[in-house]
Amino acid sequence: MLMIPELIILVTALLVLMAGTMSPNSGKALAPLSMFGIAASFVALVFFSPQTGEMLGGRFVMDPVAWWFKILFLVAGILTVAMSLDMLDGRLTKQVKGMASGAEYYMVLLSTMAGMMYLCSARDLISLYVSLELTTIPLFLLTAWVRDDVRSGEAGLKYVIIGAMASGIMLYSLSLFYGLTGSTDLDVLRVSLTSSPALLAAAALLVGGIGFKLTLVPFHMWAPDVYEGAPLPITAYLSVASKGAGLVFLFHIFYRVLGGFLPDWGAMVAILATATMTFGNVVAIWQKNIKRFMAFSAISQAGYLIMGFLGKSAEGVPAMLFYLLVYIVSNLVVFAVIIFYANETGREQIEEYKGLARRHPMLSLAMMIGLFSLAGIPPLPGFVGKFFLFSVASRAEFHWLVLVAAVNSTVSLYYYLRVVKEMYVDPLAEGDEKKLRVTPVLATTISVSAIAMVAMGVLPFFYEWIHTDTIVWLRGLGL
Amino acid sequence: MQIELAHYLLLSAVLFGIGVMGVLTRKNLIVIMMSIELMLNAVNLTFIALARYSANIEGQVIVFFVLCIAAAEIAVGLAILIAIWRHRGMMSIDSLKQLKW
Amino acid sequence: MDYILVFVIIGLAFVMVAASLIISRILAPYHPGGMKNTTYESGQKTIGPSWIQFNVGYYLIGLLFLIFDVEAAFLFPGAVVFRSVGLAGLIEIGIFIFILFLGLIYAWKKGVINWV
Repeated sequence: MLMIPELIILVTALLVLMAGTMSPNSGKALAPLSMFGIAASFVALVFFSPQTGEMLGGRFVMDPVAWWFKILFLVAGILTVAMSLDMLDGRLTKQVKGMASGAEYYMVLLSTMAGMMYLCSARDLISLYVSLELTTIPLFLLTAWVRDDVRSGEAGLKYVIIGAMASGIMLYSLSLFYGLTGSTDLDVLRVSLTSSPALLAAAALLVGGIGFKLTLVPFHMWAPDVYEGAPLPITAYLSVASKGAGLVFLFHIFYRVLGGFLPDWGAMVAILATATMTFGNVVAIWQKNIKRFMAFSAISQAGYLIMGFLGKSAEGVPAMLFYLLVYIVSNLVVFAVIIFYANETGREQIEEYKGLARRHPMLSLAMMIGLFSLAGIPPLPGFVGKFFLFSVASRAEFHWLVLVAAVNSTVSLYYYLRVVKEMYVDPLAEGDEKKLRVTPVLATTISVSAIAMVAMGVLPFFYEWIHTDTIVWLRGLGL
Repeated sequence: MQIELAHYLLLSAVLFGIGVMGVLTRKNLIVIMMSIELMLNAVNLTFIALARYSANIEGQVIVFFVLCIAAAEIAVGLAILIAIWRHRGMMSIDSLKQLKW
Repeated sequence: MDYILVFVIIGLAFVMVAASLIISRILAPYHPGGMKNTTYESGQKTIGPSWIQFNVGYYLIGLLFLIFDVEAAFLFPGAVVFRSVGLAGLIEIGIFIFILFLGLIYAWKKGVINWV
């Protein structure tokens, strides 16, 4: 029963591919089929899958943290499918040529989701590596999806080169872990690792390799290019999902394997976090293209996220999970509006958002709330999530980091406000008086996720849920 | 001279280093792909040597998966490369200028 | 103190790479031109230049070959332990092959196997 959610996703992926191949007229049914598959997997996970247990001789393990991560990935996946609909059905102002049919798109998207879900449950270096690659390789393809758009292909190629190199570096560090202990089982690694220069080298290589996926400075340089070149729904998915996958991986390694050494490395994590959020924020100020802007915003958010690794405290994990959930929903709300605007008008520059509030007040409102949540304004959930992360840092005696992070959120408010100013304060450009229409699916996606986002900020029990679910298990790990 | 574990590890470290240098410095995209392959194979060598010397089969098992994944990675990379090549007719990394690096 | 070793190893890695490059530069004989500029085709004289555009079909067929080549690598361990894993193992291998078979059907439908 444990693996049912993953199996549903995989079977759906194969079904979608076969349906699209066998009958060319099935185009319209593919997106509902994939959404149904994701929803079924969600139901199976929530109602039928126990929160603890193991399969395949301990190679596939379910625990509350993995359970919550899977929920997050399913949410991100279903929102992404909903956002991709307009693009794949060709409801775009600027026609995109060379878009391969929907079947492959959904199939590849579903397989990266399956990869991420397996990643949550992996308890073995082999399954950890294989599922991480199952997550990453489809993302290369999705980035290069628009075959006739040179930017998309170029972004895909850059992503392949950087991604493959990063995973090579990471694999090298895994081989060092294996060499130090003679085992690939994470639980065996945990008890048999001792402090040594080789362990330090392995951990450094690992942080380098995963840093690419998490876009930690100085391993971030691919992100803006790939985000700009990829098709918009994929940019949205990349910004939340590949980050989530990197976080899961780091969680496995940091908490499960290196739990005992983590306190000594707090300074390293703190420096990475500082560099990441400061760099992301400072560069985001100068961006003109909204995709690049969101890329740098995503980089700075990764800086906040890894603050959860500070100190030897179990509290870091629920804080990180909650912030990731908040970040996924807020970011996807913002991206959904960006996708809508780009589909309708083909525009991607920030200054072209002039007067959007007069053309579609509801969507501008959703985007504004999303941006404010990312900036961390109370009572929106971004503030709550940051509060918990900052308290983890302060409990670990990194008071200067809390200060830096607080200054950084203030800076980020400035550039998020720039977009809001364009939408609300600046007058409409000439010839833009026509009202914009949003497709029902996108409208539903945006409104549901915007309402969910606000609810997460106002209602306190979301964090409580995650906390009570995970904390007992985490304490059992000896944290 | 007896060939020991350290020799294998040194060899694979050097191979890995050459691979990384190749990715970072070469201009031809095919050569970059080959360098990535070299990195992965260097890691394979590490795993096999460690598995041999620690008498533990898991290191050899992981090599199977790495081989398979390396194949998938390179297939995807080359497919994207071909798609770009049809537009540009160039195999050099200097031609990737559309996006600011 | 422990870090010094790491730096020494990093330094050694750089020295090794640099040394191998320099030694090969010094030791390698350098005789350009002549037959060396011709394309190597197993000793045969080449017909036309080799810098032509090959049919993309080669790439696709090569890819298909690669997939089933790697598949075989996974089947061998299964064959070795076939007796001990029993029916469950057979079913697992069957699922594995079935998924690859779906991929083959996909390629077939897309016309990859038809040689143009």
